[in-house]
Amino acid sequence: MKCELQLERSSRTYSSGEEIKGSLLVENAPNGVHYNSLSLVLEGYIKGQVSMKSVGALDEILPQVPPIIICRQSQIAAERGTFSSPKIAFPFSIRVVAQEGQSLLETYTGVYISIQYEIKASFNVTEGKNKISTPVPIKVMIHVPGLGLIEGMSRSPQVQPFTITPTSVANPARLVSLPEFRIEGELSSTLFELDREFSGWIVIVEATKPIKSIDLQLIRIESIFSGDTGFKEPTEVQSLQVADGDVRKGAKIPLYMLFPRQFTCPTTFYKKFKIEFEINLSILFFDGYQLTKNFPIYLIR
Amino acid sequence: MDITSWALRKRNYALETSKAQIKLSAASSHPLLGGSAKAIVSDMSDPLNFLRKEKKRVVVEEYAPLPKDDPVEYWNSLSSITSKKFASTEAFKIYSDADDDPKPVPQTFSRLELLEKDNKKKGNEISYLSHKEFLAHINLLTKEMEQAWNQNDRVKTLKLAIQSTKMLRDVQTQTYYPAVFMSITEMLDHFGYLVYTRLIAIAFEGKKDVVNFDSNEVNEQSKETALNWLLKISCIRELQPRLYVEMSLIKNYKFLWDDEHSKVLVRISQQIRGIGSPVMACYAGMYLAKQVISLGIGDKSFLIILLEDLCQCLIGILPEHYELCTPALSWIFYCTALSSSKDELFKLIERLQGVIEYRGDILRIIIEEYPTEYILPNVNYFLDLISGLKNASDRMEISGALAKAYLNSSIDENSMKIINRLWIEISENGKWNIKVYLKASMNFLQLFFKKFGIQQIDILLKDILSHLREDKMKKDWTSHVSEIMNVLISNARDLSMLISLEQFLPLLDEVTPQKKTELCNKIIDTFAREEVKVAISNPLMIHALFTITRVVHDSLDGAESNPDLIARVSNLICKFVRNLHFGNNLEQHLTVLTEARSSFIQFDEVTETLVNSVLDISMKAHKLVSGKHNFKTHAFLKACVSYAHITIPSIDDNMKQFKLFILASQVALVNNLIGEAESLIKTAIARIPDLAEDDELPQVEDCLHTLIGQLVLLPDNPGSSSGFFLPAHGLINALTSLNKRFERLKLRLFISILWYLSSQTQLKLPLKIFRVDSNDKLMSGNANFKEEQLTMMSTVIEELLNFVTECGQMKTIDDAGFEVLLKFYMVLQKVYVCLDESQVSILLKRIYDICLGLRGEAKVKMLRVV
Repeated sequence: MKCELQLERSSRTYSSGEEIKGSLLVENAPNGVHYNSLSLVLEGYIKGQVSMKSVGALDEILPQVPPIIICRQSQIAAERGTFSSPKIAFPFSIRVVAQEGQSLLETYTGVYISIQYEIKASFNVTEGKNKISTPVPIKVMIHVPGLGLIEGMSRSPQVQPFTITPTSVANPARLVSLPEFRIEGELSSTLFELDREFSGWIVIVEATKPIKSIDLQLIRIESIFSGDTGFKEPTEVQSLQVADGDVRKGAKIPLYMLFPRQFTCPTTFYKKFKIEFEINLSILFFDGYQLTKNFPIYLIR
Repeated sequence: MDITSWALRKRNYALETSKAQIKLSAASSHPLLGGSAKAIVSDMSDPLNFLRKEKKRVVVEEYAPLPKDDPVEYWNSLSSITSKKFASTEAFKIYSDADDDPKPVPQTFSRLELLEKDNKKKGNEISYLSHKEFLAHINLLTKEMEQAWNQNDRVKTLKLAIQSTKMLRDVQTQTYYPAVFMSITEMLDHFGYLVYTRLIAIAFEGKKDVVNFDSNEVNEQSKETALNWLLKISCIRELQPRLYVEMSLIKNYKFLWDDEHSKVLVRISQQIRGIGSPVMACYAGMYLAKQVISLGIGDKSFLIILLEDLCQCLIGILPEHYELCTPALSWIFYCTALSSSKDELFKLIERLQGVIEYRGDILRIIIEEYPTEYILPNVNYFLDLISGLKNASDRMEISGALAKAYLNSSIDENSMKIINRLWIEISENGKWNIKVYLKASMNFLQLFFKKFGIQQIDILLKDILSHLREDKMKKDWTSHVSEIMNVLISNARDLSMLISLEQFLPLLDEVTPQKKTELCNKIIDTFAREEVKVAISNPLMIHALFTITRVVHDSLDGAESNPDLIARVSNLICKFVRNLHFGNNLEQHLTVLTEARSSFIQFDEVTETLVNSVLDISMKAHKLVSGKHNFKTHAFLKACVSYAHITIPSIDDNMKQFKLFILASQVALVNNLIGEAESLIKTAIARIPDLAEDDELPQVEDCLHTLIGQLVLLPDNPGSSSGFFLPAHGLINALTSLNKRFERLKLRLFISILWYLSSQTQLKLPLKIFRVDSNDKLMSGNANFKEEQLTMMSTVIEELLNFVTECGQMKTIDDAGFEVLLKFYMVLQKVYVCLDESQVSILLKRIYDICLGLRGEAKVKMLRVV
């Protein structure tokens, strides 16, 4: 016997408040066997997780921070009945809403923090011999429009220009002798909508040494607090090369990046969890010298 | 039996001949006479001839205009030419370890890690021995990719596609970058095709041939899949692989929306700015332009942005790097030209004006890629642009391109003036850069071939030569000159046009000996099959032909070279020799033949042709003076005959030698060169033992009979102290000492000799050569002569009698033997007086009886009649 959950939407992506429609499909069920309270649950939670790269501090903090259930919706798809035909579908429809006292967050898979939504099905079968395995739970992606926007913040983009020169670089004790350079550019905003691209441009106005590579790095900073101890860890989400080799002086090179699904979410401050994002712009010279400019950004839905 | 006492008959040859003549009358009907046959002949063209007419001259690819009407075809030919041009013979080196990329140091990672990495050896490099091996590798990757795809392993498929694009970035030297690019993009195209057809299948439930559709016609699942692909590739870390893979999947956007392509295209063309190497940037742009063409989107404004960016990059780069970029630039300009108006062209030129000042060659590419109907009506605009340029090479390049534009348009007086001006531009600037000068003059060369004549081409070649000679660097221009030669060879109507170019040979002298041979071979290859119809008498042409053929001739070794090639070469030389024609100036003809003999000593066929030609002109001389030689023509004839005499022995083939000697002796005899004729005959006879040894004697038996017939006319020296019939003596000796297996042949020849000997004392010989006194005039009444004749006849008859005796003891006889008996019978009966009871009659009776005994009544009937 085969038992499977199916969703109508192939992208499996839903916004808050939307109905998740689908059905539980049972094939080749033993004829005449009874079942009852066939139910479906949508569950969403936020939790800290130990990853391969975990640092020692997390092991202490994590047990003190239990996962938070932020969404639990259940529905009885069928009260009781008998399997009669070889193929039966039990349709269901579950609305995406938050648990009381909680608010919805977006699906996110990080290194230390994870926010997941799952649909599970369960039912009782009366005839003991024919044990029916419950179907594999399926994950859904939840989008929460407006999330990440802090009060008083405007959605309209604010261009963020920047200039990098030897004097603007932190160079303690003048350890390195810097090449002469002037790099200009701008980010098209400080906050970015997740389903749009990250954008901006950079121009090498002058540089006395040849450039080897310019890279754009998306960094997430995950923090977990417990009492007065805390844990904060930046890790790379993805890195994209935007220039390869010694580019022409004065050429306006686009900074362009799509935010990867799953691994990004709106900037989140939620009780004991915090997920923030930054952009690192690094300019690597052929002689190994590297400049890095950091830009905190807000991601919103 | 005293044969010498037998009485010879007196003969009247004229009477005998007239009696023997059969009356002929015209046939009233025969199969070939039919009236319809004639009609067929005129109606039906000879199929072989037809083929020859249809046969197009194989034009060297590079000089043929590229098929610009169809972008796909143009891309294909551009691709194959580019691959060929830039596929170096050196090893292809490509770094394989992509791990060594310049990664930014993550904030949290220690710098030490990176430092450690730097100390490690540089990434491994894959080295392919040759372009071919590299192609094989790419083929293998493509197959692997397809296999992974068929096994539904998307990740591996994508990985392989990315891996291939990494090779593009990791080529070690850029010299073969274009070739690498062409094969990698082919693989990427295949990747794009796999993904796209899959999406179509999802969107249209298995249908594969849907071409046009809107994004709202496809289902959600195909949209989702398309988007997933794009998201997946958007996180490829390195710039170039990310761009290339996205470009290869650019058609996927059709599933997402209908109208935002231009946004993506503008973005990608701006992202290309991030590629630091101008060469790589140009090729990335080339691929983008190609993908857009296959996408069929009208808006190409992004191409202009792309071009501006790329051209900016080209300003300061090295010439050799710029050259690598030119195929890419040509293609992109071609793409902009596809849908632009004349106004847009001028706008584009204006926008690029700043770049053109530094890199005038870009204007050259524009002129070549835009339709000539945009260019030529505004040619003055371009002339102004040229005069604004400082760089001599640029001026030449552009002038050359404009000349090329005239190739397919009609030339009026005004355009003549302009072409002239353009040519002056090149001729004057040539000294600054011979390479560019040569390249540009190629265009003029083709134009002149198409629109002008030999005279102009010659002037042009002269100019090229003088530039080459003035070149102070004394560089080796072989490859360029041979390109020019190739144009000449492939454009010349026929061989005579080619060699009638006065500057052709001097130009040929500018290349290395090895290349020279190659070129001459090519000339022969191109023209050997053609009939050389024109009579060759122009000394320059003869000289040219001599030079060309001699170069090839000398490069061949009769023993070792390819027999086909030898045949072709000797065939051409023979044609050339046969077509020499000097009217009545036979002496000059002989001089040329003498020169030819000293040039071409290797091939029998050529030597044979030379001998034939010399004999031919001898007879021409005979005809000119109607046989009445004067002192001068006599000397000329002597020279000709001795030419033959000297030349014939250098032929390897004994039979050919033999035949030619006989032919030469006939010519000598006819021209009253008795001594020469006799000595030639003797030389021929001296060959008999050799011929016998090689078993070739039976094949020349006819010639021997002819020779004996010829002896009839050959006079003896009346005052000779060493006897008469010297050639005949030699012949008889040679025949007598032959091996037994030539017995029958010998007897047949002896019978001929009998006929000949018997004629020598007749009052009048059956034939006469004008102005040549034969033995009937010279020897009549010479007793010694007559005595010698009878002695010789008796020697010969004795030999034949032996045979008759042998036959008398046989029970059967073969046809050949029987024939000898019959012939012997006839000659005896005809030559001697047969009185009853005389020895001759008894002998005849005996032969008759033997014949009767061997073959019976029916077969000997004819003897009775006689």
